[in-house]
Amino acid sequence: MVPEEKDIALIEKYLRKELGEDERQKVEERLLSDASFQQKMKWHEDFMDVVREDRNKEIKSFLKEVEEEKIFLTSKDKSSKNNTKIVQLKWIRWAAAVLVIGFVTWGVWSQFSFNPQNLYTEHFTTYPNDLVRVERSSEGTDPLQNAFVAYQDNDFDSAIRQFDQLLVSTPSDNLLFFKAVSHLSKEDIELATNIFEDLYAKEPWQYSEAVRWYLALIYLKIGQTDNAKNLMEEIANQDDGHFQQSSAKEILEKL
Amino acid sequence: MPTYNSNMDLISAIREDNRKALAYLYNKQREHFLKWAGKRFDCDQDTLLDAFQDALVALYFNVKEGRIQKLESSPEAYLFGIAKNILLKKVTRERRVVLSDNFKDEWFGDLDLNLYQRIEQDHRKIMMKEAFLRLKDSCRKILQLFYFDRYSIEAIQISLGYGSEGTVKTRKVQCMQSLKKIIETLQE
Repeated sequence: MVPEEKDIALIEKYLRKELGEDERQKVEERLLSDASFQQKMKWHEDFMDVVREDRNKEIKSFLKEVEEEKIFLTSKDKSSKNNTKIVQLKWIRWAAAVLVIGFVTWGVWSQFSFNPQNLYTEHFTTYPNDLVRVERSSEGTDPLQNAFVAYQDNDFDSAIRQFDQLLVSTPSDNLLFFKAVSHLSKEDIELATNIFEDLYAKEPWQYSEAVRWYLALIYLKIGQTDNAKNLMEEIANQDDGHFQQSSAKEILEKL
Repeated sequence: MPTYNSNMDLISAIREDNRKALAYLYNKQREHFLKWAGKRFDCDQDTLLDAFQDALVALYFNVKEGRIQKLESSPEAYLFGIAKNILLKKVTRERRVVLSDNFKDEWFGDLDLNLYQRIEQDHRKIMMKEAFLRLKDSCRKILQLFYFDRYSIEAIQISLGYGSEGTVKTRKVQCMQSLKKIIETLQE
């Protein structure tokens, strides 16, 4: 093991509290006199904080999901002490039934025009590759070419795998965009939504308008009609000639 | 939904990162907490629920990081006590609140309530955090299990289904190298 690797192994054992008392003391003495070792320790301490915060977000997100599912768990798990919740649940079921009947009636009368999900189906297309000029002769050698060959061939599983590999060494919002479109093309809605929402929050760049369009379509698909409307209005209210502007106007009329 | 016969069982389950145990505790205490906190804090339900979730997160970390080996009192007392501290910081209006609870401050002496302040405004950490998010899920999983859950290499191999401990060690090194490369790229 080279000295650098030995130091890292020692730091890991120290931070994982795997060292005996004597070894621990030696590490702490070394931290006082060895600036380079101290820097490595600080790096790893910072990294552990980052990993911890990632877990923190994960747990908080999990609890929010538990909260959102609460009403269904209540009816199964709680006793008659929660009559209020059960009454609310019955009311919501009744309201849902009315809504479903209403939607079916409306759907029969207006067919495709009102159903947001159908609007998604009608308007979704995979974004064409305008980023990388694909030269089929270079297939197999250039990972970027391979990724976009797969993308153009609608082999989205392969495209996503290759985008992931590229993104490790080359963080790129452009690649993330095409990865998100690949997920959406495979109907991996949640994965696509996560990426598009992150990209939407960024400063305007080459694919900002496309990100907004796809996010609006996703919101239609998952029934978040208000969010979809807001984004469609943003698209429609720009100066003429912007990406999918006429489609956005068409959808807004139907909504 | 599982049930837990004792606080020890519940704490053990949380320590093993059993998410059903967290969900169980959440569902068991939610209504009582809302009633209790609703009488004492002039906050809307979303704020109360946010504090309740933060309290559960704090409990999770305190168990996982060994600050709680066993509960001196009920899970309810711990959770409500943590949430009380969180809400006191959030509440901005002055109000005379009479708390007739028996939460002893010494129960919470070693508890880390300042999870969110720990990630300071440090540029390198921000880069590191961004880089960590950009790692592949498989890398993040290995590094989380090793650095946070303190799994052994063997445990990671079994948990994630790798062929050998050597593969896990190699993968871990590769993931750290990837992380460092991404950080370098972000710093350019």
